[in-house]
Amino acid sequence: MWNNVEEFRDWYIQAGSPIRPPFKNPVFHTDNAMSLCLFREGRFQVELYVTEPYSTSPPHTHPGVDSAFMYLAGNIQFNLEGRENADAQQWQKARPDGLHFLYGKTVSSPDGIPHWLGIGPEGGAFLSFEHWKDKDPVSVTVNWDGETVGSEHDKTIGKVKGESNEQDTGVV
Amino acid sequence: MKEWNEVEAFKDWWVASGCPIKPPFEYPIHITDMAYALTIYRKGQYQIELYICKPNTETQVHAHPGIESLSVYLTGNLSFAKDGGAFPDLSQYQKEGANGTHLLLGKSLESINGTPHALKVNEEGGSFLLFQRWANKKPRSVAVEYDGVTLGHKHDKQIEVANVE
Repeated sequence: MWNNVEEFRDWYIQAGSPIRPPFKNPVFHTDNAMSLCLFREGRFQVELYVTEPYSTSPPHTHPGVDSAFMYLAGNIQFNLEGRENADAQQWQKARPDGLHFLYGKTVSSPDGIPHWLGIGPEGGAFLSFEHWKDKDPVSVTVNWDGETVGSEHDKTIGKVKGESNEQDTGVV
Repeated sequence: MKEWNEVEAFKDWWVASGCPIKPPFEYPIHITDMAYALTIYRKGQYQIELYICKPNTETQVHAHPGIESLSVYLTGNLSFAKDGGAFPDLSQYQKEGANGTHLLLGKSLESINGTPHALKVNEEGGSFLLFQRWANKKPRSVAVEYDGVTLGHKHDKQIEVANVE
């Protein structure tokens, strides 16, 4: 097992990014994004996020979760409170091998520090490495503190909360 | 440039190479009202799209002309119907497999050579890989090389954008 989310991230990449989605709670959606959990073990998981063009998410946190963002493709401005968030448009170009210039770049997003996204016309795709410190992993889409993305997001959060309440009360 | 003589050989090569996730800079993401797709690997006339599908959605019968494809199950609850036939009942496989994964993880679902098919996704949502060989065009996404009734305004917009570019 890993001591923190950065160790998990580095292990996952070195292991060749295994695609091993769980049976339980693998897919979530909001008004402008969908996620697939690619790998989950214990309190650690990695989710793939694919986001719509021109979408945004307001500043938010994921309580109890340390995360690390990894750029894959598209046009993503990832912002973290307290950090100098450089304009990512300057890197909106291809590497010689045909991948995005920012492919593989990572930013740690510690528990409790707000972050927010802005997506360009190409849409966006990134990996979210997560360490759920005090509960079993589900999706950071539903472990969300802050203004939501919209009504679909609200519904997804409500559905998971409802399922959780049913389990708590023994009603299935 | 290394090429393959069929989509199955491409799939075998990609798996043997450790399943690299390397989305291209050019046209990696395609969105419809039903699914979000990321091209996770592209080389020459071959590519792999990873589809993440919304719960309780279904396509009508459609085709992707000039594209040979092979779908591989990842997770969730989905099935393909071929040539206008019924959706196969996969409910007996809707259970957990090794390491907490879906029992059908890695199983090939359908091999389609531009022929009509449909996709149905149940309440869990679902995800699959689509290995593709494009015969005559530069690969982009099967979502925009689509012969059939589209999935809604997002899908229409995606096709429109692709045609302009």
